Amino acid sequence: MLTKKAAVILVGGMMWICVPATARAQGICEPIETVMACLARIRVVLGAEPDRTAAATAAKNTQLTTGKKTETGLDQLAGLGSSVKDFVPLLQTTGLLGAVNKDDKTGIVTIALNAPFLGSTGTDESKDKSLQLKATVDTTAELFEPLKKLIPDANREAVAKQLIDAKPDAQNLTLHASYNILSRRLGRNFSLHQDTLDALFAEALGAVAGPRAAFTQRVLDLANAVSVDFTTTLWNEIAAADRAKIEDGILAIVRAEKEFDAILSREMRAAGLDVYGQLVNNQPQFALTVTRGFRDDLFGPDLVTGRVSFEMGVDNTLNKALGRYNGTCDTAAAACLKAYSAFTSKPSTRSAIKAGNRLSVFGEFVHNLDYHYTSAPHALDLTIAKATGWSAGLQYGRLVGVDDAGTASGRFDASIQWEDPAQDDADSRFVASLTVTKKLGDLSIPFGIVYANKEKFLTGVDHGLSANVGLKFNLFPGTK
Amino acid sequence: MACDDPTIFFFENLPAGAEYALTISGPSGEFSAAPDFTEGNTRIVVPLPTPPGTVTLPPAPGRAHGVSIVILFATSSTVKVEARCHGQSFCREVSAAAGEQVALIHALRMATN
Repeated sequence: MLTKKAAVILVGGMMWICVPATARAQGICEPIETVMACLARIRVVLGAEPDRTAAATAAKNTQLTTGKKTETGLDQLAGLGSSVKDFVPLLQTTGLLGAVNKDDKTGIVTIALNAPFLGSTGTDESKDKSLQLKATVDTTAELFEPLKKLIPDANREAVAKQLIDAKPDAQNLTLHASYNILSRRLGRNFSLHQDTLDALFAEALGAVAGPRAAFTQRVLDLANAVSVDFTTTLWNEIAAADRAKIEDGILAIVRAEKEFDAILSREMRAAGLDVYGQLVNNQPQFALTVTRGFRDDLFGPDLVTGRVSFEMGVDNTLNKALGRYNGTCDTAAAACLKAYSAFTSKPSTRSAIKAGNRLSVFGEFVHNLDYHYTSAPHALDLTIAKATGWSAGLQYGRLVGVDDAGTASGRFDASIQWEDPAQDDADSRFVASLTVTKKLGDLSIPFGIVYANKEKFLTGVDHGLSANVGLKFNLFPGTK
Repeated sequence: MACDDPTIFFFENLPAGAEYALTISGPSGEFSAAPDFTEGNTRIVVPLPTPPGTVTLPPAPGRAHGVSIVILFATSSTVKVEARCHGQSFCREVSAAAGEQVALIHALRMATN
């Protein structure tokens, strides 16, 4: 809502052209402000310059709410893939040990490990952050479940506590190493595409050269109109004739700026540069993760796990947009922009970007080493032979009903997965799931169907089908 | 130190030969900036991002040169624009949402003699 003063300025601005300079009794600048300060204020009042403080807050809020707009909590159901899982650099500090974080809910302490000797991490934005190392320490001290089941019910909890308390330095440490391949065609590192963005932007600006020059010229016209210092001289110290010229100049600048901003916005959208960032965020990513768990026998066998995953956007990536100009945009800017704009202007592309289509495939294994635990006083003896479990899957997810602000009214996820457990007494199985989630404000209502040809860890079951309806509500808006 | 100068900024009383230096910094790859230096009808592109793009100001007694800077934001982020000329400095942190553009202009007002 406009203030009374703003309204006066708006009306005054509109009438200004019709009124002779000598007849203007009321100026648009304040008596004790400089020309530069007056210009800045009038531009905000007349809508040529957005309130940048408000814009900064809005931009920050946009970042904070992005996850909220698109998350549905589905990644917690049936192991479905989230649409916004990205390979985010962990290490931001110098030295060997990075940030230490503790998750109070799970009791897991995470320690980032910097590896400058591998040339992979650091604070420098230009450095490749494709390698991540971290250590996690489980501080919950829970007795290995199969071991716990060997203890008679009557004193199970007491004995478990006794065993844990007797060994306060028992370790439960896991080392994680992840590698994300980064190139022009793989990974979501914006800095690898800087030259492309610069070339596209410079080329697209050609369409607004006239209005841009006109806007600059209006500023220079004001600068050349009078000789007073615009940064120190107060309005009430300026001669009346000069004030009139300045006021005319300010209004001319506002007109030119508004015209330029409108044309600039229109042309950048026509060029497809308004969605450039989303195209980068939908780039394919190929990641490898290996972990090695060192656990005291109280917590179970030592583990080695590995996972390889490939995820990509569908018809909404920078690779698709650039085509054969990927990597050569800076030397063939005109042709590159033409190809890029042709792709981003297609309704199907805009729709795919809005939906945030993501497809991912993965394969993983969990290998447990030989394990043997004995405790004569409690008559416990458990042996587990080394074995390896395998699984692989395909996941697809997309948003539905996305409005102009990027808020989705729902989400669709589908996955198929094959599992071959390590245990000899468990069959391999195939699982397929479909989930549709409807969002109503902070409320998410998922409807899901899960099919499995065998029930996990059981033999003799032919087919299993389950349906579920859930309710997820964010009790603490603003948190995720 | 505050970094919120107006996006249309005036450098005052500059001598011919003064050096104008411009630096634009922000998250790598997440923005692009295109500065143009205008001297009459001459359009000169100031090299970016670092080391600072510099221009030695040609004589123009009582007139002004202009620098037009247009920034495209690929992500919601903040870009810092800094300029120095003849002991005067400009600093402005500009925030915008992904896909938006922001324009700034520096008027370099030359001394009358």
